[in-house]
Parts: sequence; structure tokens; C-alpha cells
Amino acid sequence: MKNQLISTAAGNSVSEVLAALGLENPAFYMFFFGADADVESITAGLKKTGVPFMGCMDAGRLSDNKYFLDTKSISAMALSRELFEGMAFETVEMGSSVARDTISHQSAEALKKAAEKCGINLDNPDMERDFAINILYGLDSANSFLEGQAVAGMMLQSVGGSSGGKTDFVSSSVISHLKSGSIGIVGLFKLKPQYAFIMDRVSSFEALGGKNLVITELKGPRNIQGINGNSAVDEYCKAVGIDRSKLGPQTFADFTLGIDPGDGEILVTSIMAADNSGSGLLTYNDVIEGTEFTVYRAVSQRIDRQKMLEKVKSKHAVGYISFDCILCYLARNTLNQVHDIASLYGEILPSVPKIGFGTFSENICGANINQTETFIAIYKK
Amino acid sequence: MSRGKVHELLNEVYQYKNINSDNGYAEAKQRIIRIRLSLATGISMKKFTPDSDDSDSDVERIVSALKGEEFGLQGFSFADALKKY
Repeated sequence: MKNQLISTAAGNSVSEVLAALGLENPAFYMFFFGADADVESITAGLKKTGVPFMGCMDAGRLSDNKYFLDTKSISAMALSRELFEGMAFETVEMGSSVARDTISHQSAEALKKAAEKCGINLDNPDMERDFAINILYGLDSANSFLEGQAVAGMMLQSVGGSSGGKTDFVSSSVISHLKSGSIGIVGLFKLKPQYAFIMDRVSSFEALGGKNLVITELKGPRNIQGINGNSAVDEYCKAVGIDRSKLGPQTFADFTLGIDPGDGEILVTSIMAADNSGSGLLTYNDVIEGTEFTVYRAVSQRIDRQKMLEKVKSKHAVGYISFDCILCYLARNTLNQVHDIASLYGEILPSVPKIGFGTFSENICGANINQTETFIAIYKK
Repeated sequence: MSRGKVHELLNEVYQYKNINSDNGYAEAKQRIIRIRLSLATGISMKKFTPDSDDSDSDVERIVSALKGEEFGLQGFSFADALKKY
């Protein structure tokens, strides 16, 4: 799909995809690809173009009006120089050997450096034109990276996601023209005055009711041991009304935890599994002691997404970049809703180039969240 | 318990940061503050309204989070703001 400012393409090799993109004067590329795609050749092929790029391996991806759940295909987007007054990219090492404080500090410094390069005032960013996109290494926590950004410039609006791959959690590369591997990359952008963006998040849950689950004991930022003074597993089972024998991925996907900042959407923290002791719960997101979670039940993704896409449509978007939780991809697959939801994008934004990937956590404005789609759409004012 | 104390404290913070006027940017910035506060405290900011009975411990948690570097409130007097209500 293509307009004068943005083009998208999908395929199985970097040369095929680059040829299909065919946009004149690209400012940068986004590339998302399956776990069996050849990362080396994708990176080498993109470097040859001399155009900046950012992207990652994933477990599912969006290209225009279609979701891909295979492990080889590539989904790509080219964005024209015509859109941007400035842009800068910086990377941060995020592997497991790097301390969280170091990631946080380096992320703050990276953002400041990028802001200086493209003339963005982090204390008072232009809320219509200045934004950041983060692609983060998905096998480590994104929280410290995002916390660093919040310290450097809390008011800068940012969006993005953590890379994925196969569910063996062995490999999950982030790629860029600067560096690739277990890194986080931030792309900072200033749109030209005639363009603006809309950034938001959408999940599909309803509050279950009953009392909140207050986190009373943690054994690490992603291991909840105690809820309301009792065993985390027991309290969760009581809240959702199931026997502990029913605990499993489906239950955790159906009944999730969240807090509500009061902006019309919740901040979701999903449960990954019960821990080895059988009494604690492992989460996909960092949690702090004292958190007062509401329990939410998953509902169909169609209505909420439709509302959000209609909002984007009203702005006459020229491009749409989606960071949609891999659990949402899998839920659509399980519920046979893959075509139904993909077709929504086609029905409501038929000629808008779209790209996205299934994230191992998605982020927006410094928040690392789960089971949500975060997105940015660019439009002409 | 204090009625609407957190709501009023946030209004003071918005005023201090000059994001209390009725325009789209102010709304977007207030939204970011509420998201970051929810994350920093683990409390749903939605529960704080002009009429909510806010517990002392919730107020303390909110104040403690707002004193964090990221909120940029180093020159803001919490004591003065809280005294008003």
C-alpha cells in the first residue's frame, strides 16, 4: 500500500520488500520479521540502502490489512523525508548482563542526546509534532529503559514495543542501522509543521467487580508472592472464581490485572504463570508492592478497536504504526477472529499504509503494559 | 480521610506546571502525569475525584511519588498546597 508519504510491503526477502516499497526519498524504514527470517541478510540489505532503520524479530506482524503468524515473512514501512523536520536514533545495551540502573541511566542519556540532535526541547515538547518510537529487546524488562526516558523528558509522548520471537524465548533481535542484537533503540522524530500525530492505546476488558487485589509481597519485580496478605495464587483464584487446577495460559489471558489512570483506558499487567512454589504468580511486567489491582475479564476486541480506528479515520491519517501485544494476536487466533479484526483495519482505514508487530510488552508514554495495542498515526493538518 | 484532597493537589500541580488551562496540550500533559502517577504508586488515579474520600496513606503515596525527579516539581511547595485543603 502506498501514498506519497508512506509505503508498506510484505514478503520473504529484504530485496523483494525493498523493491516493493518503492518510495522516493525515504527518511527511514521500519522492518518486522519472523523468528526464522535471516536477520543477517535483512540487516545487511538495509545497511546497503544508507537509509536509517529500526525493527525487530517478532512472533506475528501486521502488514496493511493482514496479520502474519508465520516465522519467515517480513513486514516493512518506508516513511518519506517530506514528513520530518528532524530525526535522531540512539541505542542502549539491554542484555541480561546489564544492570537495570545502567539501562535506565543510559536510556535517559540516549534520549537527551537524540533530543539535542533534532532540536526537541524535552521539558516542553511540541505535543503535536514531537514523538519517540521505542523498539526494545523483549527478553529483558522494558521498565528500566522507559523509566530512564521519563526522567529525561516525561512530557515527550512515546510509543513502541518489545521484540518477540519463538516461545522458547531464546532469540529476539532488535535491528537498526547503528547496532543490532539485545539492544533498545529510540527513534526521536519532529514532524514538519503541516503534519501531526495521534498516539493512543486500546485494550478490551471489563472490570470483574469484587475487591481489589493488593500486592502485599514480592519476590522480585515480576514474582508476586502475596495478595491481600494471603497466597497470591489463592487470592487470584478466589477473585476470578476458579479452582487452582484451572490455572493456565487461557485463564491468565481471560482474567488479567490492571490499574486505571482515569484516562479511559487501563494499564494492564498480565500473568504469565504460577511460579515453581505453586503459591506465587509470575507477571509479564514489573509490579511494585502496594499496587491495588482490579481484576478484568477479556471481551471481544472488535468494539474497542473499531472505536479507536474510527477516531484515527476522522483525522485522515497517512500512516499507522501498531504495537499490539502478542497475547492479543494469539487470542484472535484462538477465537477465530484473525480475519475479523484484520478486516476492521481494512474497512475503516482502507487506503492507509499500516505496519505492526506482536509485542512481548508494549509501551506508551513511559508505561510498559500488556494485552494492549499502542499505536501512532500520522496525519496532515 | 479528606474529601477531594488528591484531586485538588493535582490541580495545584497542573497550575504550577502551567498545564491547567483548557486546551488540548494541557489535557495530554495531565494525562501523562496521571499515567506516571498510577505506575509510580500502583493506585488507580481514577478513584480520586472532587468528592472522593481520600485516605491519608493514599495522599502520602501520591505526594511521595510526585517528589520523584521525573515529575520536575523540585520548586513546588507540597506543604503550602496541602495546607489549602
